[in-house]
Amino acid sequence: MIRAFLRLEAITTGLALRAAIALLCVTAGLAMFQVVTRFVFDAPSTWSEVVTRSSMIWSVFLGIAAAYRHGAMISVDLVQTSLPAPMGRALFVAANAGSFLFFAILLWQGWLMCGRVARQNLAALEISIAWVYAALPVGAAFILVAIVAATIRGLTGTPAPPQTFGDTV
Amino acid sequence: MNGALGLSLAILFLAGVPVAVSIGLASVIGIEAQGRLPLLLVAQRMFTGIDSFPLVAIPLFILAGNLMSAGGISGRLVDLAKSLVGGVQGGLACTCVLTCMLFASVSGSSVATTFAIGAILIPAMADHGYPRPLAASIQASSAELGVLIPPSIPLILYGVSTDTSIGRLFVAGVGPGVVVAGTLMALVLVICRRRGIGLHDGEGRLDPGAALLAALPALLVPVVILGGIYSGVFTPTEASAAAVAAALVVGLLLYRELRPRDLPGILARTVISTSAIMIIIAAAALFSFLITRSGLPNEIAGWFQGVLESRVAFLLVVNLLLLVVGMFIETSAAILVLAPILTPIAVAYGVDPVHFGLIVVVNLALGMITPPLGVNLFAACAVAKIPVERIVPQLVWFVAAVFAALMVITYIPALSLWPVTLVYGG
Repeated sequence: MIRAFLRLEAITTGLALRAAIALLCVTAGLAMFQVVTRFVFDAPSTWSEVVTRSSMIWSVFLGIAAAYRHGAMISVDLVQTSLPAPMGRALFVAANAGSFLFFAILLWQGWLMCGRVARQNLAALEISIAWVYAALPVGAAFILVAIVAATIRGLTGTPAPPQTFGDTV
Repeated sequence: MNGALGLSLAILFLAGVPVAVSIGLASVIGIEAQGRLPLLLVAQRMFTGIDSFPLVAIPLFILAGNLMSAGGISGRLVDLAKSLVGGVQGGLACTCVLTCMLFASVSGSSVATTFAIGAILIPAMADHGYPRPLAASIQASSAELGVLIPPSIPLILYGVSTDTSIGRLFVAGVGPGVVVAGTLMALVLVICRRRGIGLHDGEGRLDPGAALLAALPALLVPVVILGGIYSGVFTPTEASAAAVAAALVVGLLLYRELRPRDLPGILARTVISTSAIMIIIAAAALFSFLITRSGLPNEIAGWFQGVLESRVAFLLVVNLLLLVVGMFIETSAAILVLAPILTPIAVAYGVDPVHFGLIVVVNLALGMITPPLGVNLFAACAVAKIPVERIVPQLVWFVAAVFAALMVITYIPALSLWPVTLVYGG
């Protein structure tokens, strides 16, 4: 049961990460496209800026699940690691429960927000802005799965996936 | 509401809840405690907080930096720096400072700088008889240059959150960057002299001409980025897109050390780092909205103006405040929450917002090398393979040196502002 869940999480988080990568490429590609249209054709495109921002937002919210999986969320784990093991573990679970609660709220409120803005269109485009806001609930759904899996891995001491350090600022 | 916000934030941080989630949950608690605000704000503010074109520069600069470090640039910059300053006793430590400064001009992140340069120079320094904790301290503090020399993610965040020109901030970052680099070089030279370390650092150096030639394509990228921004041709976001393109050209075509099959891994790393930072930015936007709405900024401004008479005293108090904040709070979050509050007050005291941005960033960057939450410290210790406790005694001197540089930067505005007038005119 737990094994099956962890395998499922590997698939969902992998999917989210791949989509996030594709969207990062779209963001980078469109930003370059915009430079080209402005300098080479001297006609800045009107839609590319909006789409660049939107694909970045999607990429960010899809990428967070992978950040949880690889332990790259920036946190202060000094207290967790310096407490005696059982208490440290309890705090680890509590902290992950906090993450779960927050992204559950984000899923819920993000969903409501999509309904609220369904009639607004993106600037210069005939597309509802709800399609961009949907990054919040969709991303949050992937994140919730990743948080549960990270908690299980932390508790059972299952070898975590290879650690990649997040380059923060 | 502010009491509820502050207390819950402290508890969540200490429990090890990720910084972004701590800020988000504290905001939720604040909203509930206040009672009249809709929870919908959580989704709305987090969305609008990152729905900004200038912020697109952040993932793209991170991507460009990752492409450059995988593309063979780090080694060539090390060779170049070594050929220029490596000949003296302690030359390897100076090489570390100078390489970080060069690398900083393609990377906007100091942790990325630590990994890219530290991976080469920490083992090299250890081989030349530097104690590992000292090598890690040198690397961690030099990497601060990553956020001072443009491009710089913290400067972008300051610009976005206070409506200050990011181009001007980038120009203003150069002077303080040189001051910090000079201070650190002087410090490592003294340390090496006094402890008799680094006597044979000069061995195996390339001729400066050959090293420069090999590093030329790597230096092309900062020329594109900075030249583009300084000449007013590029906005910072456009420059970041150009940087990605240039990094691909250098890595794939000129050095040919970047292989297409490396790209998925680089992209995955970039996505993960970007998401980890941008979610903090989103949550900080929500938090900042609540703080501003509660009227706290006006109270703080009133307090400052009631207690502190002069600009000199104001800057000193602000620096001490930021120093403490920087020790405990992640840099991006601290900038996004504090800069909009403090900058108007600074302007009221007659401080230029661009200069103030540099003070804030230099100061908070110091927090990256101070425990308990010093991301650069952790990164450097991870590269040096030593526990964080062992680096702390060495670190005191480096923190003191950067603080001294910070005071110089704070009280001599021309260091930051003179290049700005030069580029943009009065």
